[in-house]
Amino acid sequence: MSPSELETELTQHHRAAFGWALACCRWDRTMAEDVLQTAYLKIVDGRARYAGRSAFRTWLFGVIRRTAGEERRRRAVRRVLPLAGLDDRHAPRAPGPDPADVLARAESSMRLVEALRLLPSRQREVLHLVFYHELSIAEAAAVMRVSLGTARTHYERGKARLRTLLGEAPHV
Amino acid sequence: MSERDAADVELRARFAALAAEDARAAPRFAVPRVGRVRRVVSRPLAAAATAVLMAGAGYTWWATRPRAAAPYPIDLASVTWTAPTDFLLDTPGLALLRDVPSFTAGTGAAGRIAPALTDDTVRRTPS
Repeated sequence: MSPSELETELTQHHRAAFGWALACCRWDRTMAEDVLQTAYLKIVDGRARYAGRSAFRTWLFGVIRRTAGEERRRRAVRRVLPLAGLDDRHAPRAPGPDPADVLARAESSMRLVEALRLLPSRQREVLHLVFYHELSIAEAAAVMRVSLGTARTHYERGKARLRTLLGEAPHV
Repeated sequence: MSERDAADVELRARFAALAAEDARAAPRFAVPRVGRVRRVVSRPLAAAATAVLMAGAGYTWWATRPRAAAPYPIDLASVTWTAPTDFLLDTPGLALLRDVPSFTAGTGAAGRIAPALTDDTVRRTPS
């Protein structure tokens, strides 16, 4: 795929990719933007190559998911290292939603985000891919690099738990 | 529509609203230019390359190191040396001392000294 074709594809999927990056970063907007830029850079400079084995969006989401995992591990290491406190950019922030995010979102969306945050990562990912991005469970399994059966199990359990959480979650 | 499907529809509607909000808040698309970014070799690869280079340099030094000159080879088996005082050891009867007497005559098959083959019937005491 030529660089211009890549750029066209990325432009086309940019908004969905940002939504997926947010989900992978547990709605930490700053981290999601960093992850998205790093993922784009990987794709543009050839460290991540699209081989055409799946849909472009499925592959792109896989790259974003891996990049988010790497970023989480990097931040965890920095948090453990004694010099991590000197670097303000990676200082651990208070858990919970970004205040700017809270202002920008509607109440029902905030409740959904809060409920999704409480889910295990696999369940959150599969629900996000299926309901938010309208992928099939098989495509979600490909993004998550798990078997179809595993994805289906996470989907069913996650959906049941999300319903419970949405029914019981307090209003923000 | 079943209750289960209705719940799915409700979830989809919630997610669709979330997606619409995210889309509005999405940053402008910008692909980082490769030319502006320094391409960094991954750390494990760099460490492996350094190790290989150091091993190569070490082997080269070991193979081409200056060695001490090898000692002149002497075949000890072919060397003969006679001391100037050796004549003092040439005592009379030296040949007797150096040679081992042999008992070839009169030995049996087993190497024992056999009695002389004489007809001793004359000397035998009559019974």
